[in-house]
Amino acid sequence: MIRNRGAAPSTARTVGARVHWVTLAAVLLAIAAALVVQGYAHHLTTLAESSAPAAAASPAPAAALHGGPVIDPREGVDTVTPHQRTIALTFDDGPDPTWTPRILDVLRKHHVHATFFVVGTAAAEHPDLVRRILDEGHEIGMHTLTHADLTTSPQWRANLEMAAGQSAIAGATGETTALFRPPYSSEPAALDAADWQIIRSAGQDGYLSVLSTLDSEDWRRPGVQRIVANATPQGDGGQVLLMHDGGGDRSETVAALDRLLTQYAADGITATSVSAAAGLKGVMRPAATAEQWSGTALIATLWGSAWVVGAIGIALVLSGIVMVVRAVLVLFAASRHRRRAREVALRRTWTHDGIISVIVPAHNEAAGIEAAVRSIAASRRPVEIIVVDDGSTDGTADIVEALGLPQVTVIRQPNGGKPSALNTGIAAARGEIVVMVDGDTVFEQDTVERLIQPFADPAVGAVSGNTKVVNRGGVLGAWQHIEYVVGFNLDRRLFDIAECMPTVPGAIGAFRIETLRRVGGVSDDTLAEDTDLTMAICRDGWRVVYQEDARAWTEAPASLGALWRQRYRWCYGTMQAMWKHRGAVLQKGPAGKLGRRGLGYLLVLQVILPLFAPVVDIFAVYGLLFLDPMRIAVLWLAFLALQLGMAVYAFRMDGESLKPLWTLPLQQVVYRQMMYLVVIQSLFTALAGTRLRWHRMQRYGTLTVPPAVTTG
Amino acid sequence: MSEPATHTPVFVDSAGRRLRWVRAGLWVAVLAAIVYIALAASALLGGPRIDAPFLPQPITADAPPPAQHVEVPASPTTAPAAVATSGTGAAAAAEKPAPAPAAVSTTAPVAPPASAAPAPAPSPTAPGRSGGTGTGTTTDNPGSTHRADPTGRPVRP
Repeated sequence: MIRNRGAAPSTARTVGARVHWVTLAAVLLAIAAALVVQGYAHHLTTLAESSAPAAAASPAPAAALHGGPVIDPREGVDTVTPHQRTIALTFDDGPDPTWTPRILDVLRKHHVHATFFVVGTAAAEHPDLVRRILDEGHEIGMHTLTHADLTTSPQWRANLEMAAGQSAIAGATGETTALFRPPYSSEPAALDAADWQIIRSAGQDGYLSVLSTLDSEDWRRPGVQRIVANATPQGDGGQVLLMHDGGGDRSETVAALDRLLTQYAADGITATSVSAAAGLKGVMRPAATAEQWSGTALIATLWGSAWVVGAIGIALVLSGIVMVVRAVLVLFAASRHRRRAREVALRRTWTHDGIISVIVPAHNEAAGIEAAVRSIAASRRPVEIIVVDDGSTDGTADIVEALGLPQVTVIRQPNGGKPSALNTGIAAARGEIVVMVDGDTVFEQDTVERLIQPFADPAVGAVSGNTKVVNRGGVLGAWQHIEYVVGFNLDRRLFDIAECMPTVPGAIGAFRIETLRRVGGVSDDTLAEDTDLTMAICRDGWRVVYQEDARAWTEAPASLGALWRQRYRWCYGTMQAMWKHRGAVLQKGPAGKLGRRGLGYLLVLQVILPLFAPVVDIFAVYGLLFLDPMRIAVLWLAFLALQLGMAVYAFRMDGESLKPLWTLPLQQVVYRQMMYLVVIQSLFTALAGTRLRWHRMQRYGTLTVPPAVTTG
Repeated sequence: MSEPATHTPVFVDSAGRRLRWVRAGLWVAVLAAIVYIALAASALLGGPRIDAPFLPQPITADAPPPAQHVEVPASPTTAPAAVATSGTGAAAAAEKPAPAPAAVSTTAPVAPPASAAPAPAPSPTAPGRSGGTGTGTTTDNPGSTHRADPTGRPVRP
């Protein structure tokens, strides 16, 4: 929400710990960890390093090349082949929720056992299936955590793949397996040096490597006929048959398996698991308790990561929808508002006969007060000017008095805060229409005249003007300038059209004195007294509108620190006002419009979306690392283009030069982060109920606050 | 016109009770995050120790017993050498560490006893496996095992 900075001193300091920053860091770290885990487990395809051990390794020994498919490389090369007329059935890449159960059903029908080389992540995802495999008498083998090509993996990844792949099995079943099938392996004769390195290293870890001798090539989905032919052995030698239960549509595998098992039985071939076929015993063993716990932890981690990433994905889609919907709404409303404003401008005739009172609350505004008062006094429409000096220590009141302007009244009061200064001014005002303006804001000659035009409609209780940034040089100035132009020309027009204006900015707003009296003046319940007041007016049934050609020129904070304090006050104040007026959500009529449309818009776009923004940033990095970087970049550019398009439209409407828009892409790196950190800080302050120093200073009453404390 | 001076600003909890609750809640969140990170790290980095059983022992050519009877202990740490084999090959099988190149009939010619290194010397004439090549008589024995390591296997600790 664009507002002008108020007279409130800006020494914001929470009296409390900074635990929310620690929490933010820890939570973001945990989310990053979850993303890394998930990215590793499911999306890592490009981690292959050229520094694979292939070159340095010794070539596969002849004994392995010509040996059996079950290899024990621990001492020498020991291999074994399944018994004669025996086929070891192996299924790779599962478990799969669709196909593994069907394969198990076929196996059960034929009373045959098999060996399933499971991928760790799939096993973690479907531990029940892994348990079912075991319960039905089959055997589990390890097929790494993510089906990584170990021959091209760096050492750390190979270690992780082996350890975590086994850990997933231990966690799912409480047992460990000594059978390992290297991903992308085939028959022993095809072993090269890199493959051998993997097998030897697996042997050092205590594994027997199980290659295959008969490849059904079912993963190519060549048709049931073809799979059966591929899986039919030539000769009487024992075989290890490779099939797949995971990794895609395996309907052909299921059908082929049924026919194969019938055919084997007819041919007198025994189909069984690897260890039964090769005479191995003790391949599966109970895991130690610690190992089982560690495995359970791994599975929980993978589940948690998948959940976090899924939730973030949904939230990202939602926030994308919100942004697009907002863009559509705002552009539609802005064009309508613009058309209507043009029509009104053509028949502008309304003149107000009574006095118009301009109230200028000022607290230590020596720097800008003269320009402000002079510009207002120079208005084409004669006005009464009431400057309320709120305990200034820099001679603000003296400066104004020295101007010697006849239409200016100066009221001095002890420092009581901006709401109290405004109320003093309202009490002294003689006009039926009151214009409120900040002490550092300059009007144009026609500003007052234009600002009061909407009061031709007796239903209008308050009018918001258009605040423009004077100091728009430099990147920070340009950023704020963009924000003001967009905020005033798009959002504010939307609020006007939707009849739910939540804020008339303190820098420039006009009110009926009757309206102000009805809502009890300006309250000091919140730090955003302008928002609070506007909401109260809306709830009292008045229309609040936006007059885009009533311009006020204001100075924006020139340092990041000052900007932070200003935005913190706005954001926290807006939250306070929203909470104070939350009852409007259930009200009927204009109040309900404010409650449902206005508060809803603020809640979604200024509280929820910014809270989610840090996660978007982390997710962008994740996307660049693990997903398709092009897609992420295109998506990001699309949203940037959307923002840019809206900004261009707003700038055009305001007749502004488009030059400052070059800083828009840069907003993504400092400004955006600062804006969401402000929201987080504000939310924490709100939840914790911490007392801001502003509150202490802005209490009503006659106590004199030491001037030193209140300097802003 | 003005609100009463006793009005408390929205959200402010002067007793500080809410701050304590929020702070406690946030520390719990921090703890949960740390636990998750630690869990993820430990779960991904550690894994169970695997100790595969040894393969069934080679069958001597002169006395081929039915391979189905070759038993490998379930836990090699307890009795790695205890192989109950029926038939004449029992003694040879039970004495696994014994340097018995003769036990590996097909490899004997190409693996000189001198090469005691665990890494076997690659040899083009190493025993062929099934696949219809028919390099030796033992190839077709059920459960036949080929060893290129002539030194035999030491008893595992």
